[in-house]
Amino acid sequence: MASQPSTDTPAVTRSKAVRGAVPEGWKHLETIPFAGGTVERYELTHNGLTVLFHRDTQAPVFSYHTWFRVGSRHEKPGKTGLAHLFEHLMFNETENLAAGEFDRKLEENGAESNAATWVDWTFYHASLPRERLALVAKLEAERMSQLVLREPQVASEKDVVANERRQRVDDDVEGAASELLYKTAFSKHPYGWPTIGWMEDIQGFEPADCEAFYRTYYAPNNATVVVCGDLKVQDVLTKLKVAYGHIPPSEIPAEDYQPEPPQTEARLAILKKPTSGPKLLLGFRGPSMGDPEHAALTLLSEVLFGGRASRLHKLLVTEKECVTELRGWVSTFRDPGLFDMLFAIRDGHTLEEVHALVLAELGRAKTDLVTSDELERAKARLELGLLQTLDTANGRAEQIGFYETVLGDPAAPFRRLAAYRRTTPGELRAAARRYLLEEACSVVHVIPPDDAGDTDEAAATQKEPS
Amino acid sequence: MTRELTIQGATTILSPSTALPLVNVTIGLRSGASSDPIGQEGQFRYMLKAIRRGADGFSAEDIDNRLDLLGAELEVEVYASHTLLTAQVLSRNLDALMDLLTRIIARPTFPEAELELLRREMIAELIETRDDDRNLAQLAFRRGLFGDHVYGRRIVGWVKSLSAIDPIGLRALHRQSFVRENVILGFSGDIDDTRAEAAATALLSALPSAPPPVTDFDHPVERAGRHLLFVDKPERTQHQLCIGRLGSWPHDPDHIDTTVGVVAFGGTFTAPYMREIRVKRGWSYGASARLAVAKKRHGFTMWTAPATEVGPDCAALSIQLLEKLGETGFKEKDIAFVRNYMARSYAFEVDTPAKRLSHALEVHLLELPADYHTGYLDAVKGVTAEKASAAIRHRLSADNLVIAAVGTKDEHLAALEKAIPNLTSTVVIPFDTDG
Repeated sequence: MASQPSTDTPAVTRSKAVRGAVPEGWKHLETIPFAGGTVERYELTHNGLTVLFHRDTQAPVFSYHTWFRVGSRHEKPGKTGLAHLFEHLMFNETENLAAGEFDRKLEENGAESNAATWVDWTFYHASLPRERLALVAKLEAERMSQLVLREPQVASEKDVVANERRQRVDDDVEGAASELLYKTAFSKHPYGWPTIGWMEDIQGFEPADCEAFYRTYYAPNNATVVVCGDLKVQDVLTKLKVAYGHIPPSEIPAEDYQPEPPQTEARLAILKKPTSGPKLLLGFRGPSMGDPEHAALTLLSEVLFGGRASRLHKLLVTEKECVTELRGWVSTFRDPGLFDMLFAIRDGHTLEEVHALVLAELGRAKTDLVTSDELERAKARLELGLLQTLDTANGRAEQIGFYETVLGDPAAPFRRLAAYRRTTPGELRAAARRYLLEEACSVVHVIPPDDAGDTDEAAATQKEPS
Repeated sequence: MTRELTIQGATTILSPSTALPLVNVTIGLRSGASSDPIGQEGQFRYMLKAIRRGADGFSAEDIDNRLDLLGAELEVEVYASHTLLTAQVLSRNLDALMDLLTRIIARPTFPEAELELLRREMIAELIETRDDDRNLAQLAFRRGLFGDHVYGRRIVGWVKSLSAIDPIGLRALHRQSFVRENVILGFSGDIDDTRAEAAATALLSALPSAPPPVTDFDHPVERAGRHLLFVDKPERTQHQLCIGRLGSWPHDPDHIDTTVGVVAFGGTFTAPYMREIRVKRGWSYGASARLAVAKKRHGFTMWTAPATEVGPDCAALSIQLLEKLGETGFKEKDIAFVRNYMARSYAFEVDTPAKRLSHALEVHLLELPADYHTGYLDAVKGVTAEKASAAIRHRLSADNLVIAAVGTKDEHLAALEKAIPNLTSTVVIPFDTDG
């Protein structure tokens, strides 16, 4: 069994030492300390497939993740939602497997599997008993290179995704409000459109769109396979070479998107929806995940929003009793995202009242230092949160795959933990001053129909971005 | 794996693992919301939330600050029959957490101002849940299925019932509930026997010894016929649909047969229910069936969420599929497939110390057969198509059904009623109803 992760002395040293004999066709690139063990990085020399292996013997299982460096940021206006629709289609027919057979084989072997798409990435995961590695490698390689896209499956899956959109967005107040916040905040960058896509775009896709997307982005040199579990690395590499060795690399096009211009004026959008009460959403321009200030802003988010003892919870829920629920999140995107915030407002209180209280409290973060006690609490909460993600092979594989895909560093969660430990109250104040700018803030007001009064026209109004 | 000890007369279960420097501490109570008086639904949960609002020299704010500083979380789950208080903590801070937990459960102060603040918070949270359509459908389903039985009563209460709760009753409820004879303890994660025994002894010593509260209740009674509960909410583009009936009880001789049958029908991505609704027709993002396991007979539920224009067809097909299942049963190859799935994926039911602890606690708190989990794999492997088909026919007839749907009454109700054959009754519930 691997030794226990030592979060007291974060493992940050990479080594290029080769461990044991590397099977033919593979290049061992580095050994990266991770969670008391290591992540071994290999590359299949023929086609550039990256494999990250982490041995975890807690249970006789393993988790197999395939992360593709493609997400909704690679789409174009009019074709939004394609990356996500494609994720659904990846569970369909291949040259050697009839529709439905992919899932059937996985389930018969006891797999827990699924997939997810977001702005920067798409990933597929399956967790199985440890003796089933060859099966999942074969299946994943098969759909990476031999997917079949036909009209009936594309049509049916478009309907499924449209229903997913109804569930997550159209009939869900917070989903609809969040979509509007990002649309309002980003006028150029693809982060402004929803990963699930606009409904009219979802309904307009043809098999040819999907085929072109597949040929462009689904290739071994645009993917990272993460294997985590009770396996031996030699066996993993041998089986993966059999599965992927024949797949040629692709020419991955350079990204072609518009960066977001600086925001210099506050923006307001109003959403009229049946809801239990008004909601206020704020989106301040935030840093990219790789920005050194991301850690400080994440800690500030904990101080402001993290649990019942946080500043905004105490002020708005306990003292003023004007908010039921509140959340803050610094987006974990490759490019600069948002520090987004949501406040569900209680009966008898107004959007304007809560907005003013929030701005005053954010203002305090720009003038006064957080206390050492507040900062220690935030650090302890984040340490707990990290460890909670590592309790299963699947959780570990997801951390490795996510940080590799977004930051190119599978051990980044431990490096971030070390960065949290070093962060001072002064750095939180500096981050507040840099990012909590009212002129770089987008605002969404969600109004129940009864409260909307004359604002009928505001059902989806949005002031044009400056 | 897990070990059981008796400490201070209370069962204590250990599930150690040094994989992560985290410890889970679970305090189980053999009582829950079934004791809520009529008109005061939500009382038990209110008491459980109130104990962390002040205890033995610590204010509510002190407790919140302390938990955060220790890298700890404390969660409360209240069920009709039992309760779980679960804390998770960085293992280096376990002793400090145990000290705090002991104060919270043994010596809460119930400050009056905090109780009123908490009551107002709970009421505001209740109102907020009206935004969640799936929750609205499940609430209506339970109301239709269980009626006045304790499983039909709302554990979180209503605005009216929370307003009616007398804080003095909370103190009495706490005194009755937190006695050694009503408690079962569990520790999982980075903790050895010595440390766990010391922690358990200290915590249990702080509780009085007294007879546990009497909390038993009968099985719910099946309603004859098909009943529609329609939650009326404006501007719906999609129905959340819950269809089901009373299910199986873990002590039924054919319980595992029924469980395997339900998984074969709607428990996987490739199951017939998912295939017919999602794959063939694209009607919903998902379609699944499940059997709840509880102390008494609980529910069998089919869930799906079609666009409103295909909602009636989707409801009708869901019922037809269940009817057809009762008539034709399963083929041996389908049950063999599900046996393999359930046996092989069982590894993920026990792949963490917390899950293993949870299984052991369930056996005690839900009064499951002693070998429910330890004999589960063998029981699954023994299910045949004949047994699963017979169990589904016997337990899950489509004659008696509750159908709960969220939609917009003026636009959708009539079509939905028309699509459900042999509908016995319809009840329309405003989405913002209070009781």
